[in-house]
Amino acid sequence: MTALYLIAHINGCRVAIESDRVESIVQVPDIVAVPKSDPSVAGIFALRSRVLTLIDSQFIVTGTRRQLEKGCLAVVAEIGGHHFGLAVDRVEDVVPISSENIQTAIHPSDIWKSIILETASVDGELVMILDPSKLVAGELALAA
Amino acid sequence: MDDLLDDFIAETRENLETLASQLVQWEQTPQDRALLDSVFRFVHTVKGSCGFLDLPRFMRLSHAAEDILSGAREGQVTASTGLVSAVLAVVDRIAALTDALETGSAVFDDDDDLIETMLAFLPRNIMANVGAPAADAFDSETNEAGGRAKARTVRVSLSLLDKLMNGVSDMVLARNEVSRLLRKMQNNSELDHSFTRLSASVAEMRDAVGMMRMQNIDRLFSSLPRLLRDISIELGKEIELRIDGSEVEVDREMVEALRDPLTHILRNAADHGIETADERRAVGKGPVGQIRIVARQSGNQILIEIIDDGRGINLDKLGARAIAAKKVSAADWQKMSEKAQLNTIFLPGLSTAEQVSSISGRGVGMDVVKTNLHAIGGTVDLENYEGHGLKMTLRLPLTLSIIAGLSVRAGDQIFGISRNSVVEILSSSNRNVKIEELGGKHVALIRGERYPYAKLETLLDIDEMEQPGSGSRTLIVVRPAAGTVYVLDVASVIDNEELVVKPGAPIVMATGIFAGTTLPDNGRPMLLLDASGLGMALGIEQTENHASLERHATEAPEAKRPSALLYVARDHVKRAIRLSVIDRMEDVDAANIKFVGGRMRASVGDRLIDICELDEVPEEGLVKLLRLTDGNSVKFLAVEDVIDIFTLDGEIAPSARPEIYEGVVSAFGETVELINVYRYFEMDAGGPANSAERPLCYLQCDSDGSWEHRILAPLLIASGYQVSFDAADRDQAAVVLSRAGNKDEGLDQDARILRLRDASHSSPGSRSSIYRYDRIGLISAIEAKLSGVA
Repeated sequence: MTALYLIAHINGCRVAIESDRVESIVQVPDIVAVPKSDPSVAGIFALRSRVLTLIDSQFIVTGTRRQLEKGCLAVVAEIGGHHFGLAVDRVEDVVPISSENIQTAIHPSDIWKSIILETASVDGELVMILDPSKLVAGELALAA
Repeated sequence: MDDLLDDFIAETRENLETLASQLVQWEQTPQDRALLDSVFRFVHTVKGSCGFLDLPRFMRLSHAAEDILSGAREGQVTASTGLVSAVLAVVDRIAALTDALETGSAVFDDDDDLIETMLAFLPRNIMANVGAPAADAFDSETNEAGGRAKARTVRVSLSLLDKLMNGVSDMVLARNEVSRLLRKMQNNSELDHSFTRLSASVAEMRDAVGMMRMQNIDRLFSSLPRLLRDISIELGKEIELRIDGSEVEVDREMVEALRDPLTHILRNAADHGIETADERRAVGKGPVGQIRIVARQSGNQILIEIIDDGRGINLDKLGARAIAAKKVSAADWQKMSEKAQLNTIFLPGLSTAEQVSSISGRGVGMDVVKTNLHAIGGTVDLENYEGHGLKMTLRLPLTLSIIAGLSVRAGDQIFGISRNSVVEILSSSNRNVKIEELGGKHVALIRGERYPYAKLETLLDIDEMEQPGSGSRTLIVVRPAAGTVYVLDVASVIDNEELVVKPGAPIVMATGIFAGTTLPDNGRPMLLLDASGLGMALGIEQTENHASLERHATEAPEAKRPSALLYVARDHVKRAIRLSVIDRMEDVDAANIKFVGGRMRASVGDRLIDICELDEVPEEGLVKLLRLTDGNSVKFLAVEDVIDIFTLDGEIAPSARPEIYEGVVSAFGETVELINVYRYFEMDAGGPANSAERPLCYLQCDSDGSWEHRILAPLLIASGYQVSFDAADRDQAAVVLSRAGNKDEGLDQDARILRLRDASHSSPGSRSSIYRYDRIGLISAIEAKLSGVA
């Protein structure tokens, strides 16, 4: 079985996000900070009439906040009934990955381990497969 | 096929809810033929559709249910608890199968057992010949009755509805954007005109979509009879449930949010509240317990009352438990008021149940009720009558989605706060305000009252910005749903607007200080502050709720001291006005103010409101208006500026012109006139009073009657009367007016008659009459008649 994946960069690393999970890729307009919130929340922003929460993906990986500004790229995904924008450095392309190429044997480095379970090879290069809900759900677990 | 299946699932599920409650009703009134028919009709419909859709298990179940019900229709079986339970079991199975059909999962097949249990109620010998013929004979009847009852509606999926709502919100935002651009452009009346039209239809559409969100509260109540029946059978108690006011409409999301709390309350009432039949007889009550649920709309709130006639809450027992559970100390308990003691049932982990039953008593429940209600901006009140019952009142906002809000600035950010929780807004430079420090904590002293105080920036951990200009900040007195009143210090209050509230992501809500997010017209998202959450952040304990209630009780008489607002009038003189009549202050664009119909009026939204004390409209800019209301009508009072609020505790010296000034008072060491608000409203006689309350004037006139139609009728209508020319209305008219020239048959004895004459002087010898152009005389004569007749 082959599914389409979006290749994006977080903290300089290539990750693949299943394209079915991705609603759109947007340039974030004005970001409004959320005081007192979890550090992974970069703020909220409006996408037409909806208000989305912007997640600082880099913080989740590295523990250091990235300075996110108007115009940065975000992958919009629905997680648990709410819409989130996941900040990414840049996006490459959508590629098909067949399920045979997905494996769990290779573990990424420690900082990624909490959110990445699988890897796959694309055109001979390894990419980490990212489940967007891990970025949010994993965070809640940390906060609790 | 899939569409058909979806429709079938949706329709069946909807019908099942109604069916369960009808079955329960039927159990109580087995003779009610109409009820039985409607139950039968539903089962028959299900049978028909599943035969068509080839769903054999549905078919078998519904066929069996139909058999037994047709047996009941023919009087072979009567409703009994056992029978209804068996039918309900089959109905539940149909519901489970429906769910399974949607999710694609499987349900264990012991349908035959269920069917057998149910059919066992039929007398053996009849079993063979009930079934298809009976059902077919019913067909024509079914269609007829079903067709009549059906409302003209269509089924729309929720996601489509949500899409539509989002679409309309997008449209509103786009409209605002266009409106902003238009304002920058040169005047183009043609463009303005079409834009106004577009704007009006967008607004209309938004309202319509808002209505679509509304749902009859019946949806919420329909599952309750069934629930109560199951509980009462399990507990071996007899309980009767009455539901009133099902016609109340509430927000769709509210129905979902209320489901759990209501279930908890009902379980609690049945389990703890209602006694067993023996206990009830022993205390002289009827053996059947009564639970009543009443829903009604009151102002912008929905009230749901749940009243039981059980034993109520034993405060001593509750106290013992609260102390044992270490929720309060014994000493504190003694000091608490009855109401505060009662409210401890909302503390988590407390239960008055003697032992844990399968229904309630685990100490979860009432705290869930309170939390759930708070989450949707509601409150819950208790009235305890020990030995006689408990009344619980749930108060809910009318809609979840739109609230009147204030936008406030803190640091470089803007936040929203619900206006419901705002008591008062003051300037920090106000002479009545003092911030005291007490061991590192700050306390605000406002007109002699002390409140907990904090800067919003401190609470939110954001940087304070240097204030450009004035340097004074704004204090907001906040009364949260739970906890004491406190004072929030913000950089400034920006605007007063309707906010569409949307829940934030869980990770944002986890902060505990935000109630949601909202998108104001400028398209920049805004966080909505949660008054209770901020109170908690400030260190006000939620459990202190009862203490605050006590304090309010003692505060009340003091708070009743009237206050007044000192302002600078348009003629640059300082005057005072009673605060109680002021709704709020509004800045209205001079472009929206016009002198029409002999009065200065402002168009606000879609209505015109009179403006008092404004002689001329400024060329441009904003006009400061105080919005006054006497409860019914609204007026604006134009002011130059607003100074401050003060308490009217000094003496009010009498004024030489009481119709204009109520008196003379002292405010901040100055002597000012306190204006008489009465006169602003008195010219409102023809205002929007309820038409049913306006006295009816019957105008007796000959066939032509053009003077009556053209001159008299408009005058009377403008003076606040209803007018009729229809002789049929004559009997119920309060006053009958007739011109002297007209023939008045049999009018001599009528006390309501008022004669009008054409000449300004009355001719000697004629009956008393009024000159027809004597407006003042005419109106006062009508009033005299009215008071005489009444």
